[in-house]
This record gives sequence, C-alpha cells and structure tokens, in this order.
Amino acid sequence: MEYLEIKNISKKFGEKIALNNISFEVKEGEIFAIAGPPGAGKTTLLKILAGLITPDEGSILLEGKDITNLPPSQRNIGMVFEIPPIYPDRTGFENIAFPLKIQKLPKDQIEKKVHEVAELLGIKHLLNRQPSTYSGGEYQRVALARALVRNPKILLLDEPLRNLDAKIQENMRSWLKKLQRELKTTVIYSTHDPIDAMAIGDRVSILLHGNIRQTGTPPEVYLRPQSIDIAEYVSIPALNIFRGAIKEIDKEVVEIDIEGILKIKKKLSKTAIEKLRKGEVIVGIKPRDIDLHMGPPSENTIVGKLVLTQTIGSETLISVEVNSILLRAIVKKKLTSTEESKIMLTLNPEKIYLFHPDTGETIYS
Amino acid sequence: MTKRIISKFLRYIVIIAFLAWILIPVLWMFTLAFKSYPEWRVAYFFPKEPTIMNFILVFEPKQIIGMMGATALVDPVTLPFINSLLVVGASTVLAVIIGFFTAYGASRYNSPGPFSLFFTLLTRMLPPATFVTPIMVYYANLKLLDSHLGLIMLYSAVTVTYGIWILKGFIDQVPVEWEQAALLEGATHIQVVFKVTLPIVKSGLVVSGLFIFLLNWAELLFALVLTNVQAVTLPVHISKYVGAVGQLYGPQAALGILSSLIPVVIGYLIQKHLVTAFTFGMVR
Repeated sequence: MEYLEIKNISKKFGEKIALNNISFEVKEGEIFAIAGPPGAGKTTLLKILAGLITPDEGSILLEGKDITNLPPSQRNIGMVFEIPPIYPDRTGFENIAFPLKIQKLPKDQIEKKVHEVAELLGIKHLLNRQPSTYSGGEYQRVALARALVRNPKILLLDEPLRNLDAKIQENMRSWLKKLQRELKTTVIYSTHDPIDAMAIGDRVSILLHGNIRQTGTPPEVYLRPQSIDIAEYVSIPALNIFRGAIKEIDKEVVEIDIEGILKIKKKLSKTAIEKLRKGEVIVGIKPRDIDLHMGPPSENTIVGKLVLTQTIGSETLISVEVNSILLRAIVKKKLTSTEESKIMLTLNPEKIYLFHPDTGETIYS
Repeated sequence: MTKRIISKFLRYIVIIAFLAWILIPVLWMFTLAFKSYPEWRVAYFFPKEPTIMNFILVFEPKQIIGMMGATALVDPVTLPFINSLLVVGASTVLAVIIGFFTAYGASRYNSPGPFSLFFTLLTRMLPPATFVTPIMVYYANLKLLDSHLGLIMLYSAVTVTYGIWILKGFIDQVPVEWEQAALLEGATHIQVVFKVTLPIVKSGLVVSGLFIFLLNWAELLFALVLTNVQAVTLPVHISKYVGAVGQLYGPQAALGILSSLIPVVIGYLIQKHLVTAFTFGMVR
C-alpha cells in the first residue's frame, strides 16, 4: 500500500474528456511532479485530489482510506493555486492565519503557528505588509505558508512558478526543494514545463491529453521516453523528427536512411527489428545529441548550410539546412562558421530514437 | 518648439472650455445663493452685496411673505432633508445588499441566466414617466402614497440593477480559486461569501452604493408624483421654490448648495475606495 493511490480516475466536462483512466501512486515524503502542456488536465486532476471536483469514475486512497467522496475540508490536503489565494484586502499575517481562524483556534495559538511557519519560510518581514507590495516570489511564499500552516498530509502545488521570471523561478525551485527535504511533506507538483518537473520531482508523470503516458524518475523519462509524443514533449529545444527507411543488413544490425541526408548503422535486438518489419520508421534526434564535426568527413557526418544561429548562454542553437530539410542542433563548442556557410555535423547513432510509424511507440535496441 | 507651445495652448483651451461647460452652472448657483433679492435676475456673476439671507429663508420661509409679496408658503427644509436622507439612505443600502447577492449568484452559478439579468435593466430602459402613473394607482390602493416605505421600495427597485451589474463586474474579478482555497481549509459556502468575497469586493459595494445614492438623491419625478406632505424629498422641495410661490431663485440656489453637501461629503469620505475600486488593490 502506497501513501496515496489514485485508481482509474476519469472525468468528462460535457463531451470533452478531461482525464482518462488515470492511475498512479505517490510515496510518502516525495515530490511527485506532473508535467503536461496547458490543457492536459493537470489542474482538474489536482482539484479532484483536493475534492473540489468530483470524478466521474475511480477512487483516491490516502493512507489506505478511501477519500473519494470526502468533502475538501476533511481531507487535510493543502493546495496552492496558479493564482495564489492571497486576498488583496488583508495583510500577510491575516492571509496565513485565515485557515486557522476558520478552524476557530485560540488567538495565541494562531499567532504562534503563523510566526512559526513564517520563520520557517523566511517571510517574517511580509506578515504586516499588504499583498500589493509583494513581488511574485513573495506571493508564492506567503501562499505556501498559508497552505503549510495547517500541516497538510499532502501539498498540491498547481504551476506555482508559472508567473515568475526565469531567474526567480530557478531560485524558488531550489528553495522549495530544500524546504520539502526539511519538512518531508508529500508534494504533488504540476507544471507545464518538463524541465521544471524533472528538476524538482523525485518522480515525474507525463500527462498528455488527459492520459498519464509515463511515470518514472527524471532520467528515466528524459532518456527513455516511451513514445514519440513524450519524447517531443520533454525535448527542449524541439526534437528533430524525420522519416526513415530501415533495412536489415546483417544479423541484428540495420541501416536507416534518414530522408536521404544520412545513412546510419544501428544495432537492434531481434524483437526490435521484428517491430519494424514494415521498413519504415520515425527517427527522433534531440538537438543536444548533434554536435559539430571537426576534421575530414567520416561516417555519420552531415554536411549542410548554416541558416540561423541563436546564442543560448554558453551554447548555440543552430539551424542547418540539408537537402532542403531543416535540422536543429545545440553546439557547445565555439562556433566559427557564419550564417549561409557550409557546416559539418555529427551524431552518435546510439542516441537517436526510433519510433514505430503507426503507434508512435519508442523502439529501444 | 513653437509648434509644441501652440499645441499645449490649444490643449488648455479645450480643457478650460470643457470645464466651463460643466462648472459654470454650478458656479452660477453658488454666487446666486449669496445674492440679495434685487440681484437674482441680473446677469452678472458676483453679488454686489453678498448676503446669507437666502440660507436663512430656506430654514424660515415665513419671512418670504411681505419681503417679496409671494402668496403661497413653503415649509422649512428640515423635514424634506431628513426624508431624503432616510429614503435615499435606506433604498441605497437595500439595493446594494440585494445587488450583491444577485450578482454573486449570477457570477458564480450563472443564475438566473444572462437573459433575465439583462432584463433587470428594463426599469432603466423605459422613461420613468411611463410607469409612474400605474405605480401611483397601486400605491393609492396599498396606502403607500406619501410614505417613506413606498419611496424606499420604488427607489431600491429601479436602482438595484446598477448594484447587480457593477458588483458582478467586481465579483467576476475575484478568482474562483480564492474561494476554493477557503473551502479546502474548512470554510463553508456561507463563510466563503462573507469572509472571502464580500471583504474583497468592499470597494465595489462602496462605489455602487455611491452611484445609486447619487441617482436617488437627485430623483424628482417619482417623488413629485408619489409624495405630498409627509415624505417629500429635497428635489421636490426645491422645485416648490419656483412655481406656485413665485420665483425664489436665491433660496433655491441656497437649497441647491445645501443638498449637494451630503453627496460631496460622502464622496470625500470614500475617495480611498474609489481609487482602489479601479485598481482592485492587487498586482497580477
């Protein structure tokens, strides 16, 4: 029995399927990240866990107890919404104290608890200020304090970093992860950004179109996506996708012709080859797995025309045209070529992804 | 350079012309109130011999007889003033309270549907003169003529639609998640309304209240038809100064100043809310 078990949850809004047969388990004390593009059903899922939306089917078990039909107030689940519930007409203290006042706790206890949580989150200076004076990060901290002051069994965070700028996002994420390690609160964290999810989550679930498509540790999800849509979703910058013709040339070795720009040889197991009987395959290459090629052309070298360069910090994102096909690559080495000039790229055949042309399933060697 | 000066100059001309258009009648009323009887109909702005006689006459209108040969009498302003405060105050509070709950239902539960909410505006689409007669007949039967209750009911009914529409705008801006957070924390739905939403839209209550108050404070037609002695309001009282009793422009202007005092004071007291009402006091 896991701490939290979600079993076969489905929800429709009218004709639209928001969640389709969702099942997963969350361990006590972990950060479980749910990543999915906007509209995937993340907020609906969290609201179902909180009890704010009733699922059409399925059940939720917390510590083995069925809480599916319990009203939100009796679940002891805290939630920080994308629009943090910080009421603009009252101070930080009054906002954090709100749940305790609703529970009619004595005044001195409220005072004590609010100060404790404020101390813990380093927001004592915000207690007497009006929310209109807060920065984005401060908003989120106060919202978190309000959710934590009740000591919830599970903390649901719905896109908590969405409206913050990149640098503050990273700061807040590290801070949040460290805080969670101290408190050991079980956290379910939703985000539209796969990088955000993999950075904060102990485990990550990928939610696409109302379906949980894959659950695993961040490296598992990032390095071994189970299908093309997951690979596309987790790859930033966007995955290079090509059609490939596949041909068995030796025992367990195939040759893949990638749209005529490159022929690569790859070792595949018998079962993998079995799945690719049709002779067609979809090839996915992460821009990070393509690099500049130095020296004379050799096997796995692609020659093309550099059409666009974009500097991303110490790396450069380049677009290269080969036989009128565009290829994106992230180059770590110093780029000497200029736009419109010839450039040579190389890739490691081990790192390319092969997807089944009909099902989109990833085929690993 | 000169072009900029000219455009600046033109801008000021426009602003001054606009202000004059709005304010000259008010200024005229103001100076008229301090003019003595012979000056009332003279077309110059400032009184030659400023007097506060008009203000005294408003409270002791008996002196008007003899002074200028007016035949009929008007009453002191005291009763209409109290009536206006009572009727307008009560109907405003009523309209705002009913408006808030209707707006809340409309905003959160889409009740009673956009169609019927739209029709709350109906009373403002018809010229009041079209339905004042039927109301007079009803009121005569219900013994509500010349009563405070009758006016309060009518005033709140015809202005509640402003409360609904203004407050719906405010409530719509309160994210539903703010209420859900409170539900999660153990609050009941009633507590959510009173402890979360109501305090947040406080500025909206004040703004819609002021708006409704101003409309009712200046309302003349209904009060003129439906009141007579007991429940006469200020606008009706003011209108009496020109007509049956002669043309007492001076005291009428003095009354105008007195009757504008209340809205001005209220407006001043709540100006903080008027500002926060538009910014909604939050940062997104």
